[in-house]
Amino acid sequence: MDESLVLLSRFQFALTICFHYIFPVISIGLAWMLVCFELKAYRSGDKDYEDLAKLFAKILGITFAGGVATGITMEFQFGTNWANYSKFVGDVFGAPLAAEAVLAFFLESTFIGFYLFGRARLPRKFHLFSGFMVAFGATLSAFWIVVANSWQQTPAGHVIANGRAELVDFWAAVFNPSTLPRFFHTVGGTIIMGAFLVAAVASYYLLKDRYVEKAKKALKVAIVFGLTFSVLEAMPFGHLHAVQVAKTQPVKLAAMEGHFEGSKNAAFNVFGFPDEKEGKLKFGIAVPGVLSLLVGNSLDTYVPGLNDYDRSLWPPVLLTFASFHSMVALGSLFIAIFSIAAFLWWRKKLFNYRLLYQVFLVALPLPMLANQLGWTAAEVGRQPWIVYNILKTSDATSAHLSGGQIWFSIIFFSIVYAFLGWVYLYLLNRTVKKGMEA
Amino acid sequence: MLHTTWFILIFVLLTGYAILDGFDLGVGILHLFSKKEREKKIMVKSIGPIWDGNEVWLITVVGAMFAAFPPIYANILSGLYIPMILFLGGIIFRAISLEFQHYVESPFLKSFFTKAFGVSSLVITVLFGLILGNLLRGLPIDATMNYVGGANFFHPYNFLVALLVTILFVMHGANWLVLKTEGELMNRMVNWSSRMWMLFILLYGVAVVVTLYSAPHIMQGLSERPIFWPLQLLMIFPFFFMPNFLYQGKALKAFVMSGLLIFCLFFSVAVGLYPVLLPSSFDTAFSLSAFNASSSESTLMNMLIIVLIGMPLVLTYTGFIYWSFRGKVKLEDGEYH
Repeated sequence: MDESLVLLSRFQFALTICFHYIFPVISIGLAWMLVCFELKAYRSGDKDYEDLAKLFAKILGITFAGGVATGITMEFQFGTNWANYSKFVGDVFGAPLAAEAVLAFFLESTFIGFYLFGRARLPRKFHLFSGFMVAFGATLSAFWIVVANSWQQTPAGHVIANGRAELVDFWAAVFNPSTLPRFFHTVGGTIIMGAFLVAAVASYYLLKDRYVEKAKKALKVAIVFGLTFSVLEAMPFGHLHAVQVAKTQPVKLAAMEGHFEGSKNAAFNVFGFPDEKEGKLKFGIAVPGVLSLLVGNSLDTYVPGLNDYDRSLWPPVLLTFASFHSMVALGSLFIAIFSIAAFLWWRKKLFNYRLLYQVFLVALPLPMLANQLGWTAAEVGRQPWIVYNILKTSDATSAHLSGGQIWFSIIFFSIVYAFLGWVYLYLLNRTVKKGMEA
Repeated sequence: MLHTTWFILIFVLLTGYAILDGFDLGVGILHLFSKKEREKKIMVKSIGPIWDGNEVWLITVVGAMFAAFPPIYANILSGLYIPMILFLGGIIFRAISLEFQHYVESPFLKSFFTKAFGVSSLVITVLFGLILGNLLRGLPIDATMNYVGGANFFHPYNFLVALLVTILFVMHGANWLVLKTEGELMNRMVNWSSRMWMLFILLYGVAVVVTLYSAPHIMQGLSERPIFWPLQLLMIFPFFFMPNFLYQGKALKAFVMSGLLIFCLFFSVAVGLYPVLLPSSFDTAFSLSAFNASSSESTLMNMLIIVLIGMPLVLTYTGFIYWSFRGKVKLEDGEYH
């Protein structure tokens, strides 16, 4: 297979998946925030929460449409650009995708119709229920997609027969070693995004002196969700995921950590520049022993390094290392921001500092960035495999495609998505500026 | 048995998509011909809560193909690469224009999205027809079950099928609007539907004859299975009764008739093709069928269980949402937008 064509298809996949992933991150997180608002409105009868729910429901509606529109591209993409992959793994990989459609996406799409259009004409309880079902359906969707992707990372429940991977144990494939750690870590990331979005909108109103009472209530909800999930995201979700990667994909872990020489008492590199050519980490700031401790709970744990493996099995080290470390840094920042906010709340000074609002406003893109970086580390770190230890990415593309065809689709999607992204931001901005009823 | 079940399931899902998204695509096309703001709003609102669920049938049929018949999924999508990319473009524009037109305030964007909704509906419908026509004729598949390049996407037969599909969807969409609207708009939709009905009857005869030449394997399959001929007879109902129902004001019955017509057409094709899902244009011996191109029995079984659990749920809440939003569309109620 022509390497440059493989690279083009990879570029196209990266483009379409990164763009698509903007929307689910926001909609899953926001859907749960909405459940909270609706529940509070229902329980206390406080109309402020209902107004907040109405506002954020609009944002959910816009976001959901973006997710549907760009999500279908993903489902087609395996066939259009990765035909050999599809033929080889469809037997196993297709099942969770189909399950996602039948068991989750239908649910989500139907109930979002009830939820967005039914506030005036449905019984209150049923409307509340449909809001919950939107969040539940979206999370279930995430589960099946994570299942499919996790099978690529840590394949299980299959045999290689008749020139392809064949499913022998459905549940072993569904709950392959990385499914659960990755599911929790993924969904946690979306909820942090939801919390930041609500916090940013609330902060905007507080800065502008609009809807002050409602904005205060929204900010408090955001802080509760944000602090809880940014802590959980690191410990236990992130930690368990890292331990699993160390166990099942040691090369990937070594690349993520910039760990070149395998050793006991392995150091955790806080910062550095991995030099792939020389096979070592430059300008590194390392804390000795911490990596061994994190991975195996003991300083004596041997953590294999990149140099223990043939170079042909290395993922692109710099990108994997940088995206992983940036994600960790951002995650730590989120804990810090929400902790400070929670501390101020405890001291009854939450609403005393305009600076805090400004921080929340500026921080809005960061959780999105962190979500994207996490997936970048996961996917780039899996290279050169498309299915770990089973199929190489370079053997997975559609054999007969020409560079021209792929270029056409890349340019086409770039234009369409640039427009879509612009309109999406414009609408978010408009919706927030337009604000709530009275 | 398992293979045949999956063959049928694929056609059930595809037909479900054509019947359900068919009418809301038709509404989109008809929307292009309306000049009044108020009417356009009513048309959009009539499909507001349901179009999304309808489109999921497409996602499901593609997902089911991927899981149950991976080589067919891979060959169709990579073989018809550019049409598929453009089809996706249509889907993307339609989804965002349907949702976003309510939020934008600048007159330029508002009219852009209103137009884009209609145009993308038309583009999706025509491409769906072209792709379907191309698949009926077959793709250049060699003895190793691989697409080898050189599909003729601009074959006249593809255009004939596209025309037929467009007429069908517009008719179905007009029937939906007869059901959901009142007054002058409704009357106009009655006229649209009956005009499409006439066009369809005229073209259907042509299509049958041309199919004898362009996709003879389908006609051969049909003629060998007389037990399914009543399917063709069933088509007599929509042919004869749909206009009557329309003029008698029995909108729901007319709508069911156009749905029945789509069902009969798709299942006639299924009978003609069985067990082939993707004919090879080189040699029928190379065609990909439910038997030679399927996933392992274990996957088919697991997937069947998922479908048996999922589909009743899907049908229940799909039915429920149509029931909840039944009746004529009123512009005043509903505070969402």
